[in-house]
Order: sequence, then structure tokens, then C-alpha cells
Amino acid sequence: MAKNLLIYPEKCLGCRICEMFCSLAHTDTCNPARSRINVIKMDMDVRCVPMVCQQCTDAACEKACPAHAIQRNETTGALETDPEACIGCRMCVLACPFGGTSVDPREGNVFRCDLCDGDPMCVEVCPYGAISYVEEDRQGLHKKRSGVERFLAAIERLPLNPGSK
Amino acid sequence: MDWDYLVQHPLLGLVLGVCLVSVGWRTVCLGVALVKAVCQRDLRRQPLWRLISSAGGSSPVTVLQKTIGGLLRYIFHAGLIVVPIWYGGHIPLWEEYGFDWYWTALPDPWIDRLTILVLVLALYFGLRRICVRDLRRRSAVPDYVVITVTALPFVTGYLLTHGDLRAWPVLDAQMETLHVLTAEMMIALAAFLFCRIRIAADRCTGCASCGGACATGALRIADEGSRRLIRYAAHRCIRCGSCVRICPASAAELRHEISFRRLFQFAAPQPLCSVALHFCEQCGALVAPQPQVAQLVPDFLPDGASLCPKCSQRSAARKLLGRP
Repeated sequence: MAKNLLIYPEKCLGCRICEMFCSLAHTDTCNPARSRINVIKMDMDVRCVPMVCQQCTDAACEKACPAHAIQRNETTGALETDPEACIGCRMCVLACPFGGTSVDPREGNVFRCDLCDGDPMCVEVCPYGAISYVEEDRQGLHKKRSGVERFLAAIERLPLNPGSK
Repeated sequence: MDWDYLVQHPLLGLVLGVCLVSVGWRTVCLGVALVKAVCQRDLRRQPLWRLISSAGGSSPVTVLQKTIGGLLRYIFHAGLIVVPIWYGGHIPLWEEYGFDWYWTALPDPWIDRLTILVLVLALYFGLRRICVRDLRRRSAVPDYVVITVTALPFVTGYLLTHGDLRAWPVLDAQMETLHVLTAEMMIALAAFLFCRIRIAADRCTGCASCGGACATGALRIADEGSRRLIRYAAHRCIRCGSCVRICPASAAELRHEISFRRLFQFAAPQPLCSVALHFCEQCGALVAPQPQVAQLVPDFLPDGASLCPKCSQRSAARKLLGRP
């Protein structure tokens, strides 16, 4: 079963270390604009969500590509652009609802997460465990497990016995 | 001095001379463009043979279509050159006109077959232009003129050598003059016939792939205000066809153009086509050309809105957190 990146937004503190190492591993520069993963900060920078290519099964980028240049890597399950076939029309960038594909500001080519050939750098370097690399069919279980704590906390706050107050 | 002599001697010489000068001059211009392109960084990045042979990564159907179409055009144009030059009946004419040139002719049956092939292809190109609605919409009168004028000397030549015209004595007597006259028309046309890139404005999605594929810098793409402009410098173009092969919308095409001015035109790039741009609805950054957005609307952008990658990430993150 192919593995995929699983994000826990509640664990992310927005340090952007993943961006730095992703950029370093793929482009040999520490440039967040060239990183495959981006930390999106919301609510006055309180909530942070690392956003990365979802490796969709029914991928919009793959379908939108007029040159049929996007293909799935059989071993890692990552969607990959064949640089030979790519004509640079950027339809994939436009079609992706997650902003998972972007254009390299220096080279001008399109790029997205390639799961680092099965050993993702962002998972390795995240100090808070906000990104994990798990089998796709286990993702639901991991989400449930991480949700249990919030669920319990929510239950405690609930007025379970309205009569007693 | 009679009409036949006028057509067959001074007029033929004049037309041939003009055509030779024009072809020579254009060969020099093309050579200069080629040398300039090779000296530039761009062409060295990709070998020329690969530029010419690459299918540009379009869908297999389009590649097949473009390859077969290209092959037919090559055969047609080769026939246009081979038949008049290597036809056995033409070669002694050079000696007759006072030139001491002689070369081995191709066997007559070959030339006959090639003539038939050229005529069939001309008929096919003409009919296709008339019958295929899309092609007809993009065609103009010069396109039909070019095909007709090119086919005529082959028709008259074939009738002259094989036709039985005893039923029409007038035509029979004038056939040779008619053949020479049509050939002169074709040669005169060839002197002022140019091959030029056109971009169909209704098909162009503004994706700028052609600008990336152009090895000589003849196609330049620039965003000006709310429109994307594609500019073309004909004197830089080597007609390699990279843009035609790479165009995902089949909007770029090599087209004939009859023009006198083009012989001496080295002006700045002229705009070929312009496309409206779409800007991000949240941050106002450039997203993509409008036609590309329109292409994606039914399937991938159901609400018709399109955001820049950064704002898409933001909106997806907001959904992930369960925010409205």
C-alpha cells in the first residue's frame, strides 16, 4: 500500500523548519518559495496548517494536463511531472484546489511533493510530529487516534447531566 | 513577336530570375537567423534535430495527426521541386535556352506517379480546407489561390504529355503555352510566398508553451496590464515548427502568406495574438490566462472562481480546520 503524508494541524507551531529542509533537499537552497510544503498561518498566526500535495487518487492536475506529462510513481505513489513531456502551460497549477503544485521562481518549472522517494524530509525534521508518513489505508485510524483526546476533552465540557448543574 | 514567344522566352526568364533572386535572398536571411540562433544560448540548450523531431508532448492522437499531416506536406513540397527539375522533358530546355547544364532525368513513370501524387495531395489539401469547418473558418482567399496556382502547372503538364485533346483543337494548340504560363504563375507566386506563424486567437489559451519552445526567440510572450501578448519576429524565425508541435490547443500554425514587404522586413516583433488574464480573486496576483480558467470551469473549478496557489492553500487549510 502506498504511503502518504498525514498532517496534524493541531500539532504544528509554524516554525517552518519543514519548508527550509524541503527546499534544501530539493533545490540546494533555503528558499521557502521553492519548498514543496508550505505552512499556512491563520487567525493572527495562531493556527498553522502545513499544506502539501495530497497525491489525490483522482488528481485534477493529472486530468487537466494537456500533454499527459503527469504520471504516478509506481513505487512511492507520488504524482510526478515528466520534465521531457511537460510543455510548461501550468494547467496543473491552476487546476489544483490545494495549491499543491507551484512554479519554481528561479527555474520556471512546475513542482510538487515527490515524497522524497519514500523517505520524506519534512517528517524527519518536524520537531513537533505534525507531519507523519503513513499507509493510505491507515490514515483514518491515525486521525481517529489523534482525535480521541480532543473528543474526550469535549465530552468533559458537555453538560451530560443537565439536572444537576 | 507573337504571344507564344513572349510567354515562353522573355517572361519565363524574368520570372525565373526574380524567383531565384528572392529565394537566394531569403536563404541568406534564414542562414543569418540560424547562425544568430546558434550563437545565442537558447538553441544550444536543445540540439536542433531534437527540436525538429520532437512531438512536443501532445496527446498521442494529436502527435499521430501532426506526424501524418507533416509527412504528407513534406511529400507534396518535395514533389513540387522534384517533378519540374528532374522531368526528362524539361532538361533539354536548358540547352535550348543557351545554358550548358545537363543532369540525369528521373524515369518518366516515376515522374508520372509523382505528378499524380502531387495532384491528389493538392486536391486533398484543397478539399480538406473547404470541408473541415474549423479549417474553413481560418482560411482566407490566398490559401485557396496558393493551392490552385500550385496545382495548375501539374494539371496542364500532365494533359500536355498524356492528355488526348483532339476534341478541343483550340486547347490542343495552346496547351504548351498554357503550361508555361501556369508554371510562370507558380514560380512568381513562389518568389513572394512566405511561411509564417499564425496563432488562432479563438483557440489560444495563452499558456505560453510556444514561447518556451521557441529556440530562436522569435516568439516572445509578455504580460501587459490585463492581457498577455504573443509577439512574433519573422526575421528571427527559422520555421522549425516547435511552437506548432508543442501547442496543446492546436492554435499555432505555419501558414502561407503572399507578400512583397516581407522580403525586406526586419522590424521589431509584431503582436500575433493577445489573451485576457485572470487575477486571483483574493490577493489580486496573476493566476492564469482567462481561456485556461474557462477550460477548467466545468470539471475542476465548479464555482468559476480561481485562486492563486497561495490562496488555494489558504482556502484548503481553512476547510481542513472546519472554518467557513
